[in-house]
Amino acid sequence: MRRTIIILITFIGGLYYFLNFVLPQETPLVPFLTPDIKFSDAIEEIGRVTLVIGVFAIFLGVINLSRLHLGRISRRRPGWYNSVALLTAFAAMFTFQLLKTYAPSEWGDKFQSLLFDHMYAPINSTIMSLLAFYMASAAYRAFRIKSGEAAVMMFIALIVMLGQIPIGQLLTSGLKGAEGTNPWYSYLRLEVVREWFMGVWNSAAQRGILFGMVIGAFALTLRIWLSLERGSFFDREL
Amino acid sequence: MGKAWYEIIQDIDRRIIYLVVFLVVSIPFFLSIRAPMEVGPPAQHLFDCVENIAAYNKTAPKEKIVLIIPEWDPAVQAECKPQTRAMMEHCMKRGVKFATMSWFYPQGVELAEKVAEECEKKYKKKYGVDWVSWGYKPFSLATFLAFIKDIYTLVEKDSKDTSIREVPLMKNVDSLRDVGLVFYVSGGSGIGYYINYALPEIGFSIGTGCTAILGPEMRPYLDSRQLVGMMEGMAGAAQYEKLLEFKEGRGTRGMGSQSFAHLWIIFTIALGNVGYLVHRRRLRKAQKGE
Repeated sequence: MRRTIIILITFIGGLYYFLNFVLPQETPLVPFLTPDIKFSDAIEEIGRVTLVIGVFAIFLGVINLSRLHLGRISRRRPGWYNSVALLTAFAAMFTFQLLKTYAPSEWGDKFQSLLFDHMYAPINSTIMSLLAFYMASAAYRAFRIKSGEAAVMMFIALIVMLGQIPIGQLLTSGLKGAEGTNPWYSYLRLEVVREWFMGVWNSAAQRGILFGMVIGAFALTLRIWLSLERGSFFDREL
Repeated sequence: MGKAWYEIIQDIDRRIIYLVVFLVVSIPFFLSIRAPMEVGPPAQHLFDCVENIAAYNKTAPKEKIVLIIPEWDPAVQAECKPQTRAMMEHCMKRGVKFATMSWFYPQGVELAEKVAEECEKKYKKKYGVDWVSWGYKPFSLATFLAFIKDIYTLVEKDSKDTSIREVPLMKNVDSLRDVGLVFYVSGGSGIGYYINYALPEIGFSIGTGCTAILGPEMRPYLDSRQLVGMMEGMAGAAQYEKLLEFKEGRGTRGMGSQSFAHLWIIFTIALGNVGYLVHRRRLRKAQKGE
């Protein structure tokens, strides 16, 4: 019974979104009976409902995270001090953000700024910036011309990298024609060739990937909508 | 027996590579390196779009605004912050009013507000009159569709808790049809919602500021004109700053570091390949000799 209800709600929910997208905005909810109530009017209420569900999901996530880490601390599991750091950081950020919003004060704002602007932001940026180091090292170790395809790829990568930076653009800046003219050799400038690779070849490849993804997503959506999808959650007895 | 030179250059210690990356990225920040930056069509078209809105506002009975969506956090602010700043400065410079809001990153709109506050001092503009923040709204498709239908069902107060109807700028904004350009700045791919759902319904222009890694993904949308223009990574911000005739913006300054980092990567790749090719050649010769 429960399963049937879930299948029904999933189907009706999916059907509403589908019809809302394809029907004209002025279509009444029930033709001839409710000319003033439009089919798309319900989207505002559905929006509010999904927001409430989303908030519940966040709330559950917080409870789950706290339980997990409190358990690790109480049982002194290896690395328990990391859990202490996580819960302390979470509690501090949560408290001072709430204070900033609902009871603003000078010292509260200062603490919030200390946590967000002077701790969270630099840590977040630092972690991301490590990518530059890993990418440089990985490119050096992995990028070897072992085949014709690898040679082509390297040639294009070289143009794309050089065409993006001012120093690279400077290398072919002499190929510009006089003001207002576009001689044939001006198309050999690095930034122009880069734009051609990105705009033509890359676009074609991206479009191909996109088509593949959309077809896959469409098939998956249909399976979920019609409750045909089978997986760890869908097969569980409800 | 020690390693041959072609083996050594194939196996440089990663700590040396890291150290040089650190130096080539950090030293240019302290030097003022000015290299000419060529403006590409994506940045130029985005710039022209704002200019067209400014020109339209001069004669039209009802002004169009720009909606800036800062979906970024400190992790990608090296690229996204200069882009947001360049767009905000362009709007303020040309007297185009703008609103800002975020759907996916609560901190995005907060960081963008700080940028706008810095810009308003420079251009002597005022919050509520020249720009407004609609704050952070948690995303769901239904909420987004309701927002497209009527922004006031979702945006009831601005981020300073003022009723949105009392904000002077909003007196001129009835719906999303009063938005001339949506500028979506992000390191993620939420722009698809605007392209798929908002664009067919409203018909405004959409531009994007994205991290360089996301740039290739955005190209098909530029090609199909669903995106009017783009600032691609820090280079995109630097190009936009050139159009704004800034002597030294954040993007332009960052390009010094990026230039040397790219050159170092190209150099190490070349070095590794010279070693690899020489090694391969010698191995083949040795095999033939046997």
